[in-house]
Amino acid sequence: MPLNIKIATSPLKLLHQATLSQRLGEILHFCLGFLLSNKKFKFSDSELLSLIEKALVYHPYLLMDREYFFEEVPKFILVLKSSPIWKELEKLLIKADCIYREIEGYYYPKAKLLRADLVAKYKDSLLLFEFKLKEEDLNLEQIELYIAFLKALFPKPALKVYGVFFNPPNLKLIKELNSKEDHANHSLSNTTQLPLFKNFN
Amino acid sequence: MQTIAYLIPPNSHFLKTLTNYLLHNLNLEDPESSNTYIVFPTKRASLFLKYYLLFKKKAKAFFLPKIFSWEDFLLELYIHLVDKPKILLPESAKTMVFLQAVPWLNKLWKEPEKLLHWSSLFLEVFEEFEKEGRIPENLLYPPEELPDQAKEVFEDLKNTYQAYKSYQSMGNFTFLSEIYSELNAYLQKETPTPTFIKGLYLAGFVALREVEKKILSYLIEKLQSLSIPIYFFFESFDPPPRLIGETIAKLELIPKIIPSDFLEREKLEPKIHLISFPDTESQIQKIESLLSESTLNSPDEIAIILPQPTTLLPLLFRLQNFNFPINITLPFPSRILPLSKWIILILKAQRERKNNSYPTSLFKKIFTFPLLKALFRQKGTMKDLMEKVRLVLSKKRSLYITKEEILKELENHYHPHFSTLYEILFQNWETIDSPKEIYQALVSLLEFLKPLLKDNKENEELNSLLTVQYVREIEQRILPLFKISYLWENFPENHRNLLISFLENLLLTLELPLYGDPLSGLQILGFLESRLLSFKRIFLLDVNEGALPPPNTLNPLLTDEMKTYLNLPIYRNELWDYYFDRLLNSAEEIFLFYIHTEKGKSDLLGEPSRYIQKLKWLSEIEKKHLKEEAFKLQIYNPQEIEAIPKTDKDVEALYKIATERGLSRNALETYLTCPGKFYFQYLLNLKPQEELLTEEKEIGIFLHQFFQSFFEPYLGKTLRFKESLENIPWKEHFDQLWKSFNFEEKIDPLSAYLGYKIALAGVNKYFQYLLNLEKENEGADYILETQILAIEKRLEISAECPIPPIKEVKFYGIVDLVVKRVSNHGKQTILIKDFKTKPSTNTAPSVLKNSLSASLPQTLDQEALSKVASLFGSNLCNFQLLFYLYLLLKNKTLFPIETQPNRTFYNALYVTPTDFEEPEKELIRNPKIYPQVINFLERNFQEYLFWILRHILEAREFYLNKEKKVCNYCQYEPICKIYRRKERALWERN
Repeated sequence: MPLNIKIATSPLKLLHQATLSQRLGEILHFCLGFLLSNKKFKFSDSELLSLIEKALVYHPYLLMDREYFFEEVPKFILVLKSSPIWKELEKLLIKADCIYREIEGYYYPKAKLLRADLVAKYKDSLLLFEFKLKEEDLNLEQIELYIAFLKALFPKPALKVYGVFFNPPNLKLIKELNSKEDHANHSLSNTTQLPLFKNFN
Repeated sequence: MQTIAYLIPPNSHFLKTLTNYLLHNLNLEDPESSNTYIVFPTKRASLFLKYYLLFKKKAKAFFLPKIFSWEDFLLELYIHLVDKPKILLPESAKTMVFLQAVPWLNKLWKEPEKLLHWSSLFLEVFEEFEKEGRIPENLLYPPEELPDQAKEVFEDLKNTYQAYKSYQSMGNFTFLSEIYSELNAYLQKETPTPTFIKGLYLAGFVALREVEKKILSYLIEKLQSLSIPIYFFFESFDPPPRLIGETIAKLELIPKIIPSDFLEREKLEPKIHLISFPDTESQIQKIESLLSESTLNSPDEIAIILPQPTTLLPLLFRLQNFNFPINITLPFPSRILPLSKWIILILKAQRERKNNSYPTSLFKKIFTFPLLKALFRQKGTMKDLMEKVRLVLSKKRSLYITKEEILKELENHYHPHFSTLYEILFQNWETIDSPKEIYQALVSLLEFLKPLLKDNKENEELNSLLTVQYVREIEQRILPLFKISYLWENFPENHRNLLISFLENLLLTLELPLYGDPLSGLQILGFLESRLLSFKRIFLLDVNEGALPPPNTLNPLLTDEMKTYLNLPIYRNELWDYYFDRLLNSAEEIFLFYIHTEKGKSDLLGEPSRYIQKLKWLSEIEKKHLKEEAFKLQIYNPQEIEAIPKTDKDVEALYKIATERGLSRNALETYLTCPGKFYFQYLLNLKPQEELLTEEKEIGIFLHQFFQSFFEPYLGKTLRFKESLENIPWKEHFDQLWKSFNFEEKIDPLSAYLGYKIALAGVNKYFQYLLNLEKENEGADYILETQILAIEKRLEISAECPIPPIKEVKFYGIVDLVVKRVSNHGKQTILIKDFKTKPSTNTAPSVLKNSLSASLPQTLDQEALSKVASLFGSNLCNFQLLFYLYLLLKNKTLFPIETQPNRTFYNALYVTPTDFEEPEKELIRNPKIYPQVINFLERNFQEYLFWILRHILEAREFYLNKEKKVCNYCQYEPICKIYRRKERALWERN
């Protein structure tokens, strides 16, 4: 009988298990999340480059592709920054009480570990931001799961879910739940954000 | 306000107790809790804590704090606090940076192994200083016993270190192991405030190096000033051991016992089993038997802890019988993986290359490596090519081989395929002169192996899983080094040997950081990976000196004496003592396995670990009963099977051989020697294990060819040796042929010289012998002339078969030489000559005489076969010549005689040129029995052949000859050995 071994792996470049654009997405996630969670709506080029450097510290195996990221990431971030979307984001976030980047949580009914890109907390409302390279990458089932999770914790405040897209740059309100809406009957899929406890059930 | 350090006893379940505390003190419904950091020394502990939090927190939804290992937390601090972080390079790049900074690079670069060896030793010295947050000072009087180059570096240690750091700084990079010192330096200088931390819980630390203490002191100070909670948790009884006490004192913490409300369980006395074993395999066998009684409902039920990672593979082999999932978390030495071995062979070939030629044995190992065979498993050109090349290499037998020599032996349509393979395995590595070329050669090799690297799916074969991990590590930790040109700037040009040595060094020391995820099932851990974890049952293997505690790595630059000179702290085994004690107390039940062997002259010493001795001593003092047992080794001596059973399919195949192919001399002899061997060779068509041709055999082949080529011009003609030898320049021919054999490339010069002399003497002596036969002798017979009738002639006869349904059977053989000797009295003798290498080869005339009147057995068992075989003398010495003579007599018409038949005689003999006394050994020596022998051959011998055939077809089994003298020289001995036992196991199961 073959062994049932569970070992953590990372993608093998040789087998094209993760494309550069997937990696690019991760770096962009970090950079944008960092900027927005720190309300850094104005920043210099060198600050952006330092940010990319920080992101790459998390991914030392991308050493050979550094030049690619230093070329591509600024393109996306600066285009976003110079678009009206940036002003919109500033408007949405500047007065937030707290902003949480990559906040991790557990949703018991689905036994799922979740990690939201950005959550902004106001006194009476919550904003959830999901970053994607392209709009078609958006996973609505995942969004529903986040909504269920946040509503379980904060049933009263209103909740708005935004998608932030890089290519082309766009900010889209995906879902809006007022304070009275009961989310209990929304269907949820079995999407898993993190593989850590796959069979936890 | 001082920070509290809670003491949690190991036997209360450290992580669950901590979880209880955290659930009480953290509001996980508040998103602010996501900015609370919980930090452990190990990744595994952080994973388990997360597991317990999810398990214990009974709520529909909640946030999770950030749970990190210390290493990841430092990285997090580095990223958050340092404005301009540096590029993080793999650890292995340190060597290249160091070499740029040292003064003796130019002196030693021609000896790359020395260079790499010393640089790794000095880097350890630097690391020790960095852990103490200090810059090394120059050593005025380094120890005398160090080599000059090492002394030079010590005298200039500070400058070398600073040059090393400066080079790093110029390149703007750092290493994970140097993050401590980078961070520390930054914090002391810039004093940033870690506002992103809203709570910090540091759990499970023991001893701190100076630089760690500085970082933690800094955090304590800053967080206290912001009234941010910071707590420490130590896994310890009260009072804490010295190391923990020192840490608490250094950080000015207030130790407190954790409130009992949080304790997961009442203090537990673990059940300890002490079992001694004779070897690793029996340890694993015991685990297998104990696991079969176990259930696994959670990942903290059972752990197998391996202080020696190499025990992993035999353990996993046994665990194949179990269905539960397995998490493996330990550093696995990659050098035992097939791919690693293959790449090392490829690099070795480059070092041993002479211009364009490679050592044949090495070339063959690379080309016939199992990975390559696996790649071309399917039928096709490549598979055929591999086989062709293998045959060429076996045939060549020279010490060195070139690409051109192989191409010469291959058909044209194989050339492009072979060239492609050659390029990837050899050529790409020949022209390496820069790191870029190494990179490309390695990438080409890995690309080539892509079909073997499957995606990591569930239940994947262990070997391919590890191979994929290995390639991943090469991609992430090794390949990048050869792309960063900055690391190679100051190297001399043409540093090919260094590049190859460096790559080899990297591969040999590469460890796969296996990490079990998702958390489930049986936990297999390294010893250090088990820190802070609690299991119901633990199996701790190899509790022996040398494994636990592990030996101090030998660094002659960091001996205790050196550390004193350098003012570095000296750590004894206190830390390991602590880890062992906490492990013992953390489990409900723990099995300590150790290897214990009796001392002997050549036996391996299995010394139980000092921890075992301490346990035994303590249990005596405390009057506690310690369960001790010795593993009872069941000595199982499997009986070997006497014979291989014959199936219907085998019988069918045998009839087919008899009908379609017939039986050669070799087949008959093989069967008479051992029917089992006949089965392997003729039914299974197994290639025999390739022989390493001895010098004797090489010379035998040479002599064979010499005589063949000598007699060839005389085929169908008559010769008188007296005249011929005078006129033929046979010595020149001998020398030419000897040269063409290339003995200098196959064997060492002395053996080649002696072989030449012996062969030449043998030929000379034999010719002298033949000349003597022609010497006129009054009254006695002498040879007038010799006629060469046939050379390498195939003789065969199709005989009517008495075994239905076979109608007729072909018997055949190839004779070396058939000559006709004519004597002075007109007697003709048709002689079959067979050349033999061994001078001791002989016929058995007395056996021959007795065999003429023997009767064939009625039965077809092993005894009967042995009886028939014995009729032909020991080692069947008479069989070959009898068989050939029989064939000759049945093919008389091929060799027409001109004189009266009664003046014509037939005989066969062995020619053993290296037997200087008796180079020709006749089968029929006594003229008195000549008529009987001929009569026997003409009338009865065929009956013997058919008896053998009947035995082949109708015997129930293929009997195995177990005589040592037969098995020792049998090429199928390795296969037969396994087959005999395996067969038995199969029978037992049936």
